[in-house]
Amino acid sequence: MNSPDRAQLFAKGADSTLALLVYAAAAIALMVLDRKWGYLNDVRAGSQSLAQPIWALAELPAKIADASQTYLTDRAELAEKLNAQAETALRQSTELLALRAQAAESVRVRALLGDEPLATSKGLIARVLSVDLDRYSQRIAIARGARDGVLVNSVLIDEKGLLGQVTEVGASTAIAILLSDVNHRVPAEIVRNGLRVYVVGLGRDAALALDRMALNADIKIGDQLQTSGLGGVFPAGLPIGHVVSVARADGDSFAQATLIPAARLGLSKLVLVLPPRPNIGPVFDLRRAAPTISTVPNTPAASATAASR
Amino acid sequence: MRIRNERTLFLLLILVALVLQRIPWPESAAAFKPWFLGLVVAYFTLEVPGRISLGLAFVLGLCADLVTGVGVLFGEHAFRLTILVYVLLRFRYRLRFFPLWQQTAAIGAIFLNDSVLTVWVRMLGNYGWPPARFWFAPMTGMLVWPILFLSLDHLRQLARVRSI
Repeated sequence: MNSPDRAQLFAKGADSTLALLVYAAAAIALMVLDRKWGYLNDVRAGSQSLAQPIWALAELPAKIADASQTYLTDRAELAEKLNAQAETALRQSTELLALRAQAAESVRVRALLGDEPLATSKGLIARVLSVDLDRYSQRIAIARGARDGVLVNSVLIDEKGLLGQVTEVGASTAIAILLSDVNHRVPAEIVRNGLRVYVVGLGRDAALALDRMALNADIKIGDQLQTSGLGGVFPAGLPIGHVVSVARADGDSFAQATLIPAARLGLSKLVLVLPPRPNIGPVFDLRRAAPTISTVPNTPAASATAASR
Repeated sequence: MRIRNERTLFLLLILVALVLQRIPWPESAAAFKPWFLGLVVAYFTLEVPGRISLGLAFVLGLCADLVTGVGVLFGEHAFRLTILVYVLLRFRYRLRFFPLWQQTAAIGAIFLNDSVLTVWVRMLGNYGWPPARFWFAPMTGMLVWPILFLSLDHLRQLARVRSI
C-alpha cells in the first residue's frame, strides 16, 4: 500500500492477498501449536515481564476504583456487620447474665442445703474452719480433706465468685490460698472485651490488682473480671471481681488497676470446693506453705493440720 | 505537551488500546467492551497510508496475544488483525469516501466479520459456541467508531500530522 497510486478504487490484489495468506497461515500455525501441544506456554511465560507494565497500567484504575469501592461498601457492610454482632453480643451477654444468675443461685441453694456434700453436684460444700489474713499470707482452712475427695488445686468458690485454690490437703481438712494472697495469680479476662489479664493479690482481702497491664489496655472502671480458664487450674467463667480504679500514671510502664473481689474472701462461712481440672499438676509452686494459720482451737482436724506442718 | 511525531502518536495509541483492552469491565458490561486495538488499527489503516501493513498488523496482533495472556490462543489476535487490515486495505478508498454514518455501518460489518472469524477460530480450537452477548462487542465498536474517528482526527491535527 505504499504505492502512491490513488486513482485506484481497489487495493492491488495479488501481492496483498498473498501476504494475507502467509500471515493468516502463520497465525493459524501458531494457534494450532498453542492449542495442540502448548509449545508457546514458555514464550508466554517469558514475555510476561514485558507485558507486566501494561497489566500494571491496566490494573491501576481498577485498583483505584476498587479501593474507593472497598472504602465505600465496607463502611456500609461493616456497619451492618457491626450491628449484627452487637445484636449477637447483646443476646449472648443477656443469656450469660441469666446463666450466671442461675449459677449463683444454684451455689446459694447448695449453700442453703448445709454442710452435706451434694451427691448430684461435682462441688463439695465445706465449712471454713479458720481464716488467716495478713499482709503476706491470705489463707483459709476448710473442714474437708482427702477423705472427702479434696485435692491439691481444688478450686474454692462462694456464692459470689472465686475464692482461691487448695494448696495442702489433710485427711479431713485442707488449706486454701485466697486470691488476695500476694503470691497468688489468676489468669483472668475482662468480661466486656475478653482482654486477658492476671489478677494478683495485694495481701488485703478487700482488694485485688491487675498485674502488668499495658498502658493502653482497654479497661474501665466497672469492668467485670472472670477466670479465663487458661493456666489449667480454674474453670473458665468464674466471677473474680470488678474494677474500681484505673490509673495510668506518667512514667509508669504499666497501668494500675484495682478490683473489688466478687467473693467475700475473708468472710465466707461456707465455700464450695470444685474438683481441679483433670490432668494437670500443681501450677503454683508454693514453697512457703501457710505459716500462720490460726486454727479454731476446738476443731481437732484443723489442729491436726496445723500440727502436721 | 505536543506530540510532534506521528509515529509516536501511533505507538502511544496502540499502547493505550492495549491497556484499555486489559482494564476489566464490570461483569454486566464486559460483553460490551469493544476491541480497542482493532479500532485504533482500523483508523490508522484508513487514514494514514502506509502506516499499517499486513506484517505490522501481524506483529501487533502477536503483541496483543502476549498482553492478553491466558484465555486466548496464541496467534488469535494476529490472525484477526491481519484479516481486519486486509479487508480495510482492500476497501480503503471506498471507505474513505463514505460519509461518516455509512463508514460507521461498514466498520460495524467489518467488526462483525471479525467476530465471526473469532468464533470460527474458537470453534476449531474446541472452545465451543460463545454466549449470545459475544455479539455485542462489534456493535459497541461500531458505535464508538464515529467518536474515535473524530477525536483521533483532532489528535492528529494537534500533533500536526498531515493526512493524505
